[in-house]
Amino acid sequence: MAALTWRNTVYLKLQERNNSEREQYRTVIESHCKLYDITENLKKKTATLTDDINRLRQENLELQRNVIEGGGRSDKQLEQKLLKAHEELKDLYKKRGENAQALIDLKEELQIKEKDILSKDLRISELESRLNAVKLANEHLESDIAEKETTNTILKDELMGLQMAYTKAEEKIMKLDKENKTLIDRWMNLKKEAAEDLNKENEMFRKRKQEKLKKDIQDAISNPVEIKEGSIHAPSGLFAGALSRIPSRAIAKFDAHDSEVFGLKWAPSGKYFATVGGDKQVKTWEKIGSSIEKKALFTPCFNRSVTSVDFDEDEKCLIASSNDCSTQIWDLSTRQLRVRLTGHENKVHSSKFVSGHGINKVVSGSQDKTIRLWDVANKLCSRTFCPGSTCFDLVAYGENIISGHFDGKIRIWDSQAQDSMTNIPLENKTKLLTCSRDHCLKITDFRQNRVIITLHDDNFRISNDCSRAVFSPDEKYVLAGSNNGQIIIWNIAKQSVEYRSEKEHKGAIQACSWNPNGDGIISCDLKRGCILWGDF
Amino acid sequence: MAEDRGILREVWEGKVPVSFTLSAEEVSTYEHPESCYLLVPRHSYFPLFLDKLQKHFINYVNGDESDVWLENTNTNQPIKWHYPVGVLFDLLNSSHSLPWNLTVHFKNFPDSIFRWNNRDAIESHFMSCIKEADALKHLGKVISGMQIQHHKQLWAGLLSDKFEQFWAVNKKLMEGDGDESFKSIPFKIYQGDSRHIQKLFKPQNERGDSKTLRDMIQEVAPECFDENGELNQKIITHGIEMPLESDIIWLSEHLSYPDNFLHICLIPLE
Repeated sequence: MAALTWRNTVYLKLQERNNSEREQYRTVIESHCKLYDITENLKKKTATLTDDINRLRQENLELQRNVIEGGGRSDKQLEQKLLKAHEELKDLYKKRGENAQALIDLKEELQIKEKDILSKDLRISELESRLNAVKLANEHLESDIAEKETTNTILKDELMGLQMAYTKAEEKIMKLDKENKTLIDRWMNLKKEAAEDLNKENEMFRKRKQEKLKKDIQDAISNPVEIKEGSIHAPSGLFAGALSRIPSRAIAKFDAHDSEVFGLKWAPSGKYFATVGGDKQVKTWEKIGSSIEKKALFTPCFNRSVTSVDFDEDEKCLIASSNDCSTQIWDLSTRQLRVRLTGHENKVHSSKFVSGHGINKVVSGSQDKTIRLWDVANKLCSRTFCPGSTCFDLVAYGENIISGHFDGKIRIWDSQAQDSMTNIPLENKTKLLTCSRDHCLKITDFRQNRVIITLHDDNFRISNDCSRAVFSPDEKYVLAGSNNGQIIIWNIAKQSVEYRSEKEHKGAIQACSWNPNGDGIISCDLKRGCILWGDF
Repeated sequence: MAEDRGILREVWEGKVPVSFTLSAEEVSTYEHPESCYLLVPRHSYFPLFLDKLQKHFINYVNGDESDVWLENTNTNQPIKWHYPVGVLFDLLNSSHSLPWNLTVHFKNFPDSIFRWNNRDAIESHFMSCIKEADALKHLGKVISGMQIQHHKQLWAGLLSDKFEQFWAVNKKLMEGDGDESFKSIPFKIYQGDSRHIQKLFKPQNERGDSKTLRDMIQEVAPECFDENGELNQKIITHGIEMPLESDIIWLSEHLSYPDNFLHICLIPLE
């Protein structure tokens, strides 16, 4: 019940409150609002009406004004017209003045024109007189042309005659050509016959030799020889390393070739030597008594200068190379050409048998900047190295090839390996002698891979790129020829000149060779000469 | 349970007559405008009526219409319009003169009040109050369990002054959590123009007995009672003095404003 009491109290109070606060005012406020709205609307309407009145008044005013303006307009129009007429009049006066001026100007112009016409007439008459003169000249020239034409026809006739003569001359030439051909053919035939004759002669020579040999054998058989112990000389090859003796004088001078002597070489036995020269020939020589006798001439000859010569170790064959791009190998016993190796595209400067391979392997260096390795048995090039620089000289030992080049470099090649190599261990021969354009001789040690000794002398000047120097057989000395005709021998151990000869040669010394037995030096020069040096 | 519809409806329908007068200094025309009279629902907020005021006065001022603010004509204090209209009326119009006179300003917006010129801002303030109240009553479970459209319905009901629409949703907020009643009572006690008092207050004592309004005042604002236990303040909400014996849960369920808070004004005796 208590709860109801306060609830009811609250309820009653709320009702009372609503009555006093809300109900009393609701109607008043609502009516107020309504009245306010009505007032607002009325205000708006009044405003619009006022606007209308204003607008209408404005219009009325405008209309009145229009009426007033309409009265004064005609006078104004007339005035304007009058003004316009005045202006037009002014314009017309102005125009008249202008026209008068124009008339005067035109008159002046007319006078000028008339003057012009007069002068032009004068010129016309002048030109006419000139035209007449020209016409005269023209007639003159036409007659000239006619004259020229007649001469021209004469000249044409002459030309015809000359052409005919020319054709005849041509025919003659043809005939002569034919004759020439027949003559050449005949000449060729004759040449062939000559060659055949030469072959026959060779054959005859061989037969004769054989007969002589047979006869000798028979003689030998008929004269039995007693053989004493110790009388057999060891083969020459065993003399390698024999004591080298320094020569004291030139013991023989002779002309080996008809032009320069480019190369020479003692045979391994030391009994004879070979020379090659600018006369395309390869010859061997023998010392008989105190003179040098020609032993053999190897045919067929090269087509150009011969540059180098070499023997194989067993002295079976001789190899020579030439500027005609070829290399040839002869059999020493029969003196027959065994192989001709061609393939280089330029001069062959040097060719060597590769030691340790008998005569089957040959290496050659050329101006065409290649080094070629040849298989002699199959007559073909088995390998080509491309160092990129001209090769002047070669040393071939076992599988190793050492080459000297125009670019001042020494290159070492392994004929079995794929690429060029350095640092090749050489079992016995570890020193390389080089002779170069700086007039020095250099000895390179391959174990150290550097130059260990450099030799030079004031008198020593090399003659050209292909000049060659050599070791003595016992490798104590180095021998080289100078371009003043001296030969010079250095002692390697002392690194000084051991012997300097007189200037016996007439020209620059090209090459020299030390007898493998150690007791003879031979040198050649570019003026045909060869000299044998000795101390006996 | 908020079942006493009679009470709820009487509370909902409470309206106060307000007379809005344009500040005399700000009138820019020679003609002074008429005052604007409105019946403002107690549970509503003043910013929702700014449109009408602007429309009414805009032809008579030069100021920026977004700078509208209200002033209590008697005390010349700005109206803190984030409180419900009823609270402001009970607190500021203690003389209870009707209609309540307010002055409308379009210039010199004061710093002490929120600049609320769109309805979203008021809505979010309103919703945050509801959420705060629910957090106190149900630890926020009910309001967070509601769909967003129910949140919108609460605001829409308030805006359009529709009792049924509002209470259809608000009913759930006023129910206890199963057998348990509210965890604590969401209330705000106002005293003069100073800041309001807000404390945690459990509706039941240790023995499980329901507390009354007296218990709450004694606990929260004991200075309202003199030595003899007599009240020296009037305890007013919704414009009426509350019986001290009222059950506090019943009060919270029936006499809370739409933001679910009990707004209690302490007005000194004469």
